[in-house]
Amino acid sequence: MRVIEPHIHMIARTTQDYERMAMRHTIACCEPAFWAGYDRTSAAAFHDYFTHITTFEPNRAAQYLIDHYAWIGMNPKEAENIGLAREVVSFVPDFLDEPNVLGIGEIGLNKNTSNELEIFRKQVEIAIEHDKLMWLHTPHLDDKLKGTRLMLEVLADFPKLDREKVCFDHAEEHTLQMIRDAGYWAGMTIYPVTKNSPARVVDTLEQWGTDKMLVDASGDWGPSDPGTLHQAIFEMRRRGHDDDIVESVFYDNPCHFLGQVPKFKHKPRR
Amino acid sequence: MSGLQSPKHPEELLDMYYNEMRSHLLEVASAFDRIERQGGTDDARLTKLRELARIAVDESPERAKRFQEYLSV
Ligand SMILES: [Zn+2]
Repeated sequence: MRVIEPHIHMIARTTQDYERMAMRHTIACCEPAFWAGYDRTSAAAFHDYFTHITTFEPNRAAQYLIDHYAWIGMNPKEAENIGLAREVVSFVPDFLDEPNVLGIGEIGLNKNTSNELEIFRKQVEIAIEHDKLMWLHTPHLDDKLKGTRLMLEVLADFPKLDREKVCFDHAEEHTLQMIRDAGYWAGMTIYPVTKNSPARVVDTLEQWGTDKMLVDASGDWGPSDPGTLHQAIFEMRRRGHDDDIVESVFYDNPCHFLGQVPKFKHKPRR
Repeated sequence: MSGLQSPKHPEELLDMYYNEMRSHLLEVASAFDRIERQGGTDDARLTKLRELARIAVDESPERAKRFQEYLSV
């Protein structure tokens, strides 16, 4: 069974994580631009970061036969520094033609502020203008419901938007209905304590089916583990789902969503 | 009985454990849903779990001890 990790921050992981992922048949991973754990003090720091995830990481991953893809964008947390955020957004388009860049992400909301909304909206405009995929970060914990609603409202203002090209990540029990009703892809993030557990991810798949559903482990500098993606695979098999449907979730679905960009080279089985 | 006194204030402990407590409760909720979604069962263990959940969050002390006693044969 081949596995694609749609959301992981390899900049924060060791090479040994690439090795472990490879041993578990992960053949591709996607790295959205995000908050570094501290607020960066200059636009140049973002420029360097975007360069890192479009040059160094693909090379590091390639040693383990993993294709590394990236999403470029201004994360919502640092969008609060609106001057800096505007400057960063101005050079986001410069990175979109890099060979491993799939689109704009992870963009969205964090604390649902007006600055965050401005920067989110600007980047949605860029994505539509350049016909790129979008990888959306929905807020954490108590801010998630309101933030997801607000993000849907922002996107509803763009009638030309192709909803097939947008994935709302970090979806959970209370936000799935609205994301799916609106026709977007939904990503479920497994993250110890504060997001989904492997068991709840499988619950969600049992309730909603597998169409336009993605699962990721979102490994980063926090308490997280790329292996939780594989725990979800095992949990799904343990519940009695056959391997064919499991692979359709963890391999074919990412191929369908990400494969809308010709740069993404893996093909779904069907 | 002389136990160890942690220097932590209750608020600090809540900061430390809030997300974990939230997560454990959510996992329990989803596991009940999971079993019910498959048609449910009148297995006595479910009744037992519901009572344990009540003990776990009630207003009286020694919840963990009473939880374990409730399960003890
Ligand atoms: Zn992320």
